[in-house]
Amino acid sequence: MSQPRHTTKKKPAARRMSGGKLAAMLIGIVALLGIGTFVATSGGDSEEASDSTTVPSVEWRPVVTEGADLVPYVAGTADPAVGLTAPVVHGASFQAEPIDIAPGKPTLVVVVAHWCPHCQAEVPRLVDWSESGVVPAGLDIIGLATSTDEAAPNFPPSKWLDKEGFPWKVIADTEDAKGAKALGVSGFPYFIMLDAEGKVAWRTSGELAISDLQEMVETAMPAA
Amino acid sequence: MSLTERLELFFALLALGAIGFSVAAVAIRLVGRGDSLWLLGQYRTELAAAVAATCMAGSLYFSEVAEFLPCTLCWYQRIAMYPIAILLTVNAFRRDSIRAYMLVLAGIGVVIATYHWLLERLPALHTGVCSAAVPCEYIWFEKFGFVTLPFMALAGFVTIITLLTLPVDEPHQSSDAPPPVASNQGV
Repeated sequence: MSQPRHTTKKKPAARRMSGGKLAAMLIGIVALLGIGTFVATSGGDSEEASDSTTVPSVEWRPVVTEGADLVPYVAGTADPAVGLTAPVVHGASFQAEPIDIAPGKPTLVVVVAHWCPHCQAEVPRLVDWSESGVVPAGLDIIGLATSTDEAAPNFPPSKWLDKEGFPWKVIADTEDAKGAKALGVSGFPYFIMLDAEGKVAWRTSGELAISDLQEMVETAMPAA
Repeated sequence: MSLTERLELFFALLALGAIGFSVAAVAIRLVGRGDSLWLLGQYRTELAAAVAATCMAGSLYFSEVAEFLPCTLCWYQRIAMYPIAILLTVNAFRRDSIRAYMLVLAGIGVVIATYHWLLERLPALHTGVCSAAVPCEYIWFEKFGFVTLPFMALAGFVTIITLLTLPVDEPHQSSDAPPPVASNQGV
């Protein structure tokens, strides 16, 4: 004998109406929330326009590169860029002082993005490293602030690095991250060690313990 | 304040409201008064579909209009949320039994959204690298100090689960009465 499959289908009209009222009430609450949000936040458009004009342009600077871009770094594989000559990067600091990444001295380039939490964790370690007195003499260290986005957290990078006491010169990359692309940046923070001839000794990406960084830098420095 | 900023606030408030509702519903059930939610339970499919559709609309706005590029974990959450929105909406008319599938999808979404939100709070959970393309640690916006896009997704998934598990039986029904063979609730 077959079961009456739809015995509970029909609800009393009054209850259905109550449910309908409830649904209408919920929709009304959401609609009121939406209207309330728009009303409460209206009137700030002119302020927004003035904000956009006050953003300091020093967070991005022109960058010119010479030579072929390095291939993007891929972790966990043999790096094909090792031994190749890195492109020369002509850039400028946030205050428009010229800075070059060019052959001449062993150079460690530290690439950071202001919004990246791993960079925010790494920079204080680098500051401690600089103050520890163990940074090899003769090593040039240059920062590259890239992927800068005024809508992202921790903007602007100039203030962030200044607040952290970042002790080395910093190049402000272009809006399309030209300097970072030239160096094969694939993630942040990013480190690239160049020898005195401008050839890539090693590259790595991600947070680094200072003891590891120290060891890696020392292996790439010429013997005293 | 731009339209996107207003919508960020609106969706953040919706997410908080949804989480508040879910917590209240669970609390009511824990104290043994779950039957009092039967009226909402009558419309659990429609309400859950509305929540999922709102989440889908929000995510599409933020990616296609506001141009907040979705990261890998965002895509995984979309994979869970979008089918729920579409299938529950269809189910609101067809009344097939798909609740179990929707609960599984929402459960997967809860796990991914929770991890994503925790990753924003504790970046050390991940590999220690921000991808130069679209990093999962990147916080596009944050309201009230903790409401971000993954939190909104989490609120959506939790609310969908809460709604889909609401009782549909009227409170005065006798517990020893034979259960209805099939209700009109579809899911």
